[in-house]
Amino acid sequence: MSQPFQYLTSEQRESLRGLPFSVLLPTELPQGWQVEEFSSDTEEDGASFTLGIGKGKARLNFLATNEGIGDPPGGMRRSRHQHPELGEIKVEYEEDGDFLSDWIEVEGGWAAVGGSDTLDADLDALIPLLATAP
Amino acid sequence: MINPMMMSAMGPMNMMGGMSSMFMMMQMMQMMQMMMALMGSMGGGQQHAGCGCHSQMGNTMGFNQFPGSMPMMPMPMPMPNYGQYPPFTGGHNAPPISPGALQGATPTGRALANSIMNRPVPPNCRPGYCYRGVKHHLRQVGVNLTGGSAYQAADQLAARSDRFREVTVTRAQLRQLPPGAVVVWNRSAGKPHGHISIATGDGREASDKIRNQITNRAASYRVFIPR
Repeated sequence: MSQPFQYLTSEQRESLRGLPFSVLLPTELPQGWQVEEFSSDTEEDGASFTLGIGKGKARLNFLATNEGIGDPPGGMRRSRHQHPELGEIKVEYEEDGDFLSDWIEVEGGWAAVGGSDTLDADLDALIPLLATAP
Repeated sequence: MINPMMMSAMGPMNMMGGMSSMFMMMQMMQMMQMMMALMGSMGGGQQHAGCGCHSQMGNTMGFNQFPGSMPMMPMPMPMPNYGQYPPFTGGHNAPPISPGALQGATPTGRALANSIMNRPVPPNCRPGYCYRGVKHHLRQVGVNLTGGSAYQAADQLAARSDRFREVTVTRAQLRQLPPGAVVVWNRSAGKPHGHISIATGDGREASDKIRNQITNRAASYRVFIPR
């Protein structure tokens, strides 16, 4: 079995250590997914981090922050996905197809999964892979 | 409260009778309130009009909506229960919004609308970062909010009476809010952060993105109209 988070460069993995909060990222990317964004920023109120991955039109963002958040509005549909340690993670879908999961408390902040145009099977495959990185 | 002047005019027997009937009426109202609260919690409270800061019974019966049309009996009103989190600590006495306030754009409201037009999605703001987005727009009009979760904005906005005034708005009126009106949703079961948005004046709201104004969230909310 390969080392976790090997789809990130060593610089990217190292940069995670400088964040003021823990992040939840998939330990590996299922076939077909690739990294499209890796970013973090710090404002006066706090910091945020995003890993964006894509597969065709589907987009998944793994978010982490310690400021300025609200619970996903949702309203159109809700799906539920199991994580072996975190338990059930709910995903709320909006009218335009965008979605965001419950915010999950991590050390120093909060983490969530958001995106668009994914299948439930995509989330079923990726959410169980979430682990604190690096 | 019974007016002491009235008590002296009633005489002991009449006063006892008045007290008894008033006590019975209060008991009946409390029973009705308990039933309504139970019905509200069973249905998530979504079907009720009103800001959710007041008792659901009060709103259902039209209390607070037509000042002067029905004398208010000062008695403790049960708060809607939306989960394990405490209700908002303020906003319970906010006056109903006037028809004029629903239509007019104020200087602060126009400035907020311009900020939203210029940056519908604020920098580094993604779905879920609603509070970060609203903080960005409010900074443009000199209002600096703090805290990590959206519900924390309510008391801060209430303290900015130079920029906002708090009003009571029914759920049906939320999509009629003027540009710049801020809606803050409280925490509720499974929702530890709440939600916040700024009305765009056309039935939509802006925060982390522009979406149709949320009206059916199973939580209480407070509304702040820009001055």
